[in-house]
Amino acid sequence: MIDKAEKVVIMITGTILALFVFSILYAKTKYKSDIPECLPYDKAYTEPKVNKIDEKTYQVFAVAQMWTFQPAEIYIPVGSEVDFFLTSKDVVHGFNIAQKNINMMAIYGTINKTTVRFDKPGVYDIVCHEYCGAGHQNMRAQVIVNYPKAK
Amino acid sequence: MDTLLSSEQRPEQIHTVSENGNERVEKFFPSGAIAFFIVLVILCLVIWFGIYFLMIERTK
Repeated sequence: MIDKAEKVVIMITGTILALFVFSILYAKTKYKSDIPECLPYDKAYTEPKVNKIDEKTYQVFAVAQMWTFQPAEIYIPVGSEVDFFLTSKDVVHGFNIAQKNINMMAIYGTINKTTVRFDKPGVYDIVCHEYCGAGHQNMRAQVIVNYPKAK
Repeated sequence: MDTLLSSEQRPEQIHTVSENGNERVEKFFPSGAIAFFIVLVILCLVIWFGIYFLMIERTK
C-alpha cells in the first residue's frame, strides 16, 4: 500500500520528468540542430585552412595543439553555413563556441565534424574547454562574421 | 512500528501541548515542508526551462 501523499508526489515528479523529455524531443525535431559526428581519419584534415565552397558555404579545417587553434581567425560572411572539421596534433582539446552551442572535442587521430550557420554578424570566440596543460586558459580563436565578403 | 503503517492505519499524529497547566490537543500537518517542496520544484522548473530556451536561442 502506497501512502496517498506519496502517490501525489510520485505523480507530480513523473509529470515533470515527462515534460522535460517531451520538451527535448520537441526541440530536437523542430530545430533540427546538428550533432557532432566522427569521420574516418584523413591526413588532409591536419592542414589548417578555410575552404570556400560557394558564397554561403565554407569548410574550416581546424587543428588544435598546445596551446593554440589554427586558423586563429576565421572570416566568414554573415548568413553562411560552416562545416568545422576538427582534430588535434597532441593532447585532447576542447572546441567551444558558446554563442552557437558548438561543443566538440579535438582528439588526435580522429576528425570531429559539425555544421553551423552564422546568421548574425559579430565576433564568436572559440575557447578550449578541456584542460590541456599550462597554457590552456589562453587557448582561443575567433570566428569573425561580417559583411559582405570573407577573406 | 507506526512508521511502517499507511496513513489510514497509522493513528492520527495528535500532540498534547501543555500550557499553563492546561493540556490542549494539536493536530500536526507539515505545511511548511510542503510549501518548501512546491517552491523548490518551481525553482527547478524555472532554472531548467531558462537554460532550455537559452540553448534553443543559440541554435538559431
